[in-house]
Amino acid sequence: MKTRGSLTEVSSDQEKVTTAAPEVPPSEVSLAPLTQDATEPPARSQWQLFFRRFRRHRLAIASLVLLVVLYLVVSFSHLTAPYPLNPKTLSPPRGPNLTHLLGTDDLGRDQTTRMIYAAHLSMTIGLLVAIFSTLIGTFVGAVAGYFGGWIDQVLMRVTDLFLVVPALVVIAVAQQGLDQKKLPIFGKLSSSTLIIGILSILFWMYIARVVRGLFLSLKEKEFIEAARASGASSWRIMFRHILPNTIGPIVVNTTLVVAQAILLESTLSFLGLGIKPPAVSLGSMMSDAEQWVGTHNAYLIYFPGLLLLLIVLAVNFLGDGLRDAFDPQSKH
Amino acid sequence: MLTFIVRRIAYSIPVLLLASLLVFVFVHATSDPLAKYAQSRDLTLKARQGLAQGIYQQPCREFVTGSPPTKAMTCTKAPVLKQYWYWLSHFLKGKMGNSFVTGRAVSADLRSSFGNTLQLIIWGVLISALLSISIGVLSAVRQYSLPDYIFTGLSFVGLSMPTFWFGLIAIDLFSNRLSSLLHVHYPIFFSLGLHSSHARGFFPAALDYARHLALPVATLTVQIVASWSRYERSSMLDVMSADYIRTATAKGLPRRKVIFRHALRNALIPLVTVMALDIGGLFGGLVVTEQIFSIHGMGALFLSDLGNGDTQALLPWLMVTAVFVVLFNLLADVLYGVLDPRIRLS
Amino acid sequence: MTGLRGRGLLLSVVAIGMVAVSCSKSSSTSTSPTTSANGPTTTVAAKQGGDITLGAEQEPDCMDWIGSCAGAAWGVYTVQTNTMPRAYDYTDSGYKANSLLTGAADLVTTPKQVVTYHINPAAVWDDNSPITAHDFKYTWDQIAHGKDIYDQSGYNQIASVDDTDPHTAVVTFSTPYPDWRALFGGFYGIFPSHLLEGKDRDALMKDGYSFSAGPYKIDHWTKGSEVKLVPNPNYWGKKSNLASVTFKFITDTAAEQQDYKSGQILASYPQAQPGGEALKGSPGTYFDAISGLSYEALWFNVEKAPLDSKAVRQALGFATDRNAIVQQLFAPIQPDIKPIQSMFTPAFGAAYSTPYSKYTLQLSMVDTLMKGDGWAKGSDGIWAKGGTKATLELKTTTGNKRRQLTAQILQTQWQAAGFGLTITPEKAGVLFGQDLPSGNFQIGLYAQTPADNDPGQCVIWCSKNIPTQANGNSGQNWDRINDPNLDKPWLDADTNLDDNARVADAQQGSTILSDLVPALPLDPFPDILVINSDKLGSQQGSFQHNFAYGPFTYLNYWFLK
Repeated sequence: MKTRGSLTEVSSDQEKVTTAAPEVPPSEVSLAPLTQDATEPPARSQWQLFFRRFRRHRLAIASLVLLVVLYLVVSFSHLTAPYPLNPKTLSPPRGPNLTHLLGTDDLGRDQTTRMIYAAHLSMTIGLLVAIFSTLIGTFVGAVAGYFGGWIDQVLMRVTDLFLVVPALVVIAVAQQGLDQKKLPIFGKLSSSTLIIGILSILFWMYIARVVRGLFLSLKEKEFIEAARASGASSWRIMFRHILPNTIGPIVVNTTLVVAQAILLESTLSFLGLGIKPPAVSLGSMMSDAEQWVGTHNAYLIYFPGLLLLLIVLAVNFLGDGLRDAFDPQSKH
Repeated sequence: MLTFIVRRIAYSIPVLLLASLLVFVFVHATSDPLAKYAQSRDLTLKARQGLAQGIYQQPCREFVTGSPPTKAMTCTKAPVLKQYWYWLSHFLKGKMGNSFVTGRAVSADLRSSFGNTLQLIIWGVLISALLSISIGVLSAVRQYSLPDYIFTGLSFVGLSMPTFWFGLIAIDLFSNRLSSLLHVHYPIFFSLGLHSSHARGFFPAALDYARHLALPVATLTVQIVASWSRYERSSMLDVMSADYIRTATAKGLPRRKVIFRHALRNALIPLVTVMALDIGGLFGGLVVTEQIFSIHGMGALFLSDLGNGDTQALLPWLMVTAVFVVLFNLLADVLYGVLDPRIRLS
Repeated sequence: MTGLRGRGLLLSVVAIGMVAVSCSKSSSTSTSPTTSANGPTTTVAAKQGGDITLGAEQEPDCMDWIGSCAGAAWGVYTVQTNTMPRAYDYTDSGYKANSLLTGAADLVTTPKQVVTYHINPAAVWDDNSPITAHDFKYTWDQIAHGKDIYDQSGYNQIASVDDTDPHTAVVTFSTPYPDWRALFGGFYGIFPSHLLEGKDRDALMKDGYSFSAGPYKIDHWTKGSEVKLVPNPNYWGKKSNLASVTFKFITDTAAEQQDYKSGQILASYPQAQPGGEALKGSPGTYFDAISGLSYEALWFNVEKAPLDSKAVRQALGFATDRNAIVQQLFAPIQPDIKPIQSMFTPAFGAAYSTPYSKYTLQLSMVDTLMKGDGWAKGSDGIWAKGGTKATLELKTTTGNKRRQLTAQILQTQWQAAGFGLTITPEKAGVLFGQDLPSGNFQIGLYAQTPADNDPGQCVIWCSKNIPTQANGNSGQNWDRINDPNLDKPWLDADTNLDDNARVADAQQGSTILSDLVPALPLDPFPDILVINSDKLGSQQGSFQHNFAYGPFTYLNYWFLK
């Protein structure tokens, strides 16, 4: 359950739709970002419509602004971080004070500084995982949905496999196995590279299933028939005619992948299976600070957690706004 | 219906086998047999001797189904697939063997862990279902009211919050600070296991149990309620805009009766399916909750087996949890067919 | 198979205060419960009864203490020490005869080593049958001739055990065994022949056993969760005040600390991590940082250039500010902590000397030694000789916060002295299973964990124990130090029956080590003992601790306030 948010729920319902009960209309799940009624080819007016609707979603706009500003702040950590990440001398933790606004951790390291570096890593991981999994997932999903055949079969069977085993378990096994191991081509991966790779491998399948479903229904539509009749090649139809119609659900799902990836990464790091020192993520910060729960130093748990909550919440609001903007019907 | 069930089960068998093979090969190839020495309690001279004799060295591991692994364990370098087959053939005969690391019977560990996890699931699901249905109905009936906005906001927060953080905060506040606030020298709520060992008598024991369950159940409930209440809300909204509900209202039936007699019953169908799907995932999915609250359930067992690189114990774990996912998936489909006569399973 | 860590009192300020209190009460407090200890040590009035719950950070895999589960430290701390009888106890001041014996055993050294144990007639198992010489014989037989025995050393040098007099066990050795007091006790104990003989000992014991000859016996063991001890009514020594003691297994250190803070467990004994200690300074808490037999060190592979040069190794000793490292790691926990100055810890008692104290941060010494060895500093400030730079690789275990920090501090310190250092974290299996035995390392950072405080360390310093084809690569001299002068004292310490001579050997060996520098000792990393002193008290005045048997050795003196 902990690895499941709205994204995986979508996927599991998609699973039901495609394998078990084809009669169930997907609109049963109103939370689903996935919509299948985008039947018209895109027109400029549609994008204008989208932007107009999105602008109305004030929470989403605010979230977008917050995320951009926050990411800029944490990206230029050499300018924004008040202290070096690893000071030369260690000291016991001290609560929030004027020199260290959010206090220092159990090695005397400035908590604000660590949170800036950690948030940068966490957000970057979320972003990269979303980009990689969207690129791979869209391509594979498009091919599988359009051509069907063995690619489709392989995709469905492999994703079935991952529906059976909890995601956290898959990732934990993979992380434990590959950590500190010299791989044939990549060499020894840093813990962050490794986690990005593993999460991308997990999430592209979800995107692929979403895209596959969209392609499956869109390829039967009349305007595609028309394009086919006019002699367009399969690839051209896929990427010039169908793909633009799937942008909405894909973007929404990409946003959700960002949120899920950040949450999963923090959970893994908390369990000691994710980011390892010297790298620092919000999850590993909380893992380090776990011993202070119940003491007056519990702020070491509260602050990174609140920042993480803020980031993921903003991403989810953004996703919600995007969904509404792409598909006004889904809003009740 | 029966054909459908049989077909689904038949279909899931190769999936399970493939999953087990992948995990076997992967864990076998990559696990760290000395992981427990990575922390300070390092090798004793004796352990170093054992190392030097090669008993810990990869891939020097053999499947021993009868006796615990010991120094005298022979070290055969059989091919991985052969070892997998050895494991599988024993597993199919119901022999799970003994753990590589602890030497205990894997089935015994699984049984006791499963019992603990099951308790969490039962209470967690009961409470989640009650809460989600109430919240969902309330939000749908009073759409765009203040409570609706509050619950919508809370569900976003619930879905955006890492479970472990909620758990730690709960321990911080309710296991520690609440006691000092009330000036008592014992914890009001526990964060250690499911029982104290000294509670005697039915009522003290029940109270003790409740005080142990409260925080872990709350922790695992948060995300579930956040997502289930959204389902219930939207399916309730779907149903309430349906023609037959409008007709019922137009006929002059009391609103309360319309909501509970007609709308709620139909709106529960999609939720029940989702619940079944989600519950299936809980058997192996409570890793964080169990870890934080020191509950020796399936999730905690997984973490320790993984840390030990104990394929012998990991594989049956995987099979058991996967079987539950498959079963509950199947249950979801069947329920859907049974509850909604418009759906026919084929 | 978890490494058994012995623990000893490092004389911290707290510990000194504690010892002072207990010494003024009675000189016998440092031994395990004895019948005579009933007198002076039980002056503190104790409330009877009460159930307590304590934390245990590891669970023993099983409870067969000589077979598959021998050497499990937490098995010893929780159950073994409280249930199994033994002839001798480890104490901070050496071995002491347990109340199982009427006094010290008689040792004859010539012509053969013969040890005669006189068994206390009051000593009985929990079913009231006496502990006899035949139990000694059975124990020897099981360990020396059983299969899958964890460690047979000592027992396999025994020629015979004479049990004709049930109250007198006469043990004859075939070859001299200096550490004989560790036998019939140690971490094994003595086994009840009347219950086990002719049966499958491992099967009867591994899931917990009902017999006992200690202050407690096992009530139940719920695997994965807890083990509960109840008093043994027939124990001949100091009986328990408490009605039951439950150890909860909490493998997550942070969770254990939370459980302590919230009062769910009344004591815990985790390993210290660098930085602050959440439980230090908690009100109503007895807090002690205990350093034992284990110590962290830098281990140099003396066959790998440039570490094959003694001058370079010595220069590294002068380039390292060990005091600063230890302070940075542990000062918040134990302000007066000092680096250790020999390849022993102070818990070894007389065998501990301080030859390494000459290695302090002295960059001028580094310059002298390196220049004398033909090195010159390059433009980047790193020593170079014949085109090779003095850049070293340090391998350590992954995921260990303390080692990560140690390595980072070293990197800074050595940079200033002209040495480059790269850090390679390795999985424990790779490091201990492959790199160290096969010599695929330059510098290792890991801990040495002796099973007891025996001064004989030939196993890691003698040239015959360098891993070679000849010894089946089973040697444990992973540093590959090979020096006849070094061999001499360590070889002697393994055969000499004179305790004083062995201590002298150990000191001489340590001095030679400090000259050859195959390793550089760092810290005796402490463990943290916290006890809720609002709720618990000890009739010994303050909470006693045994470096070998752990913090719960004297549970029978504890009481609920």
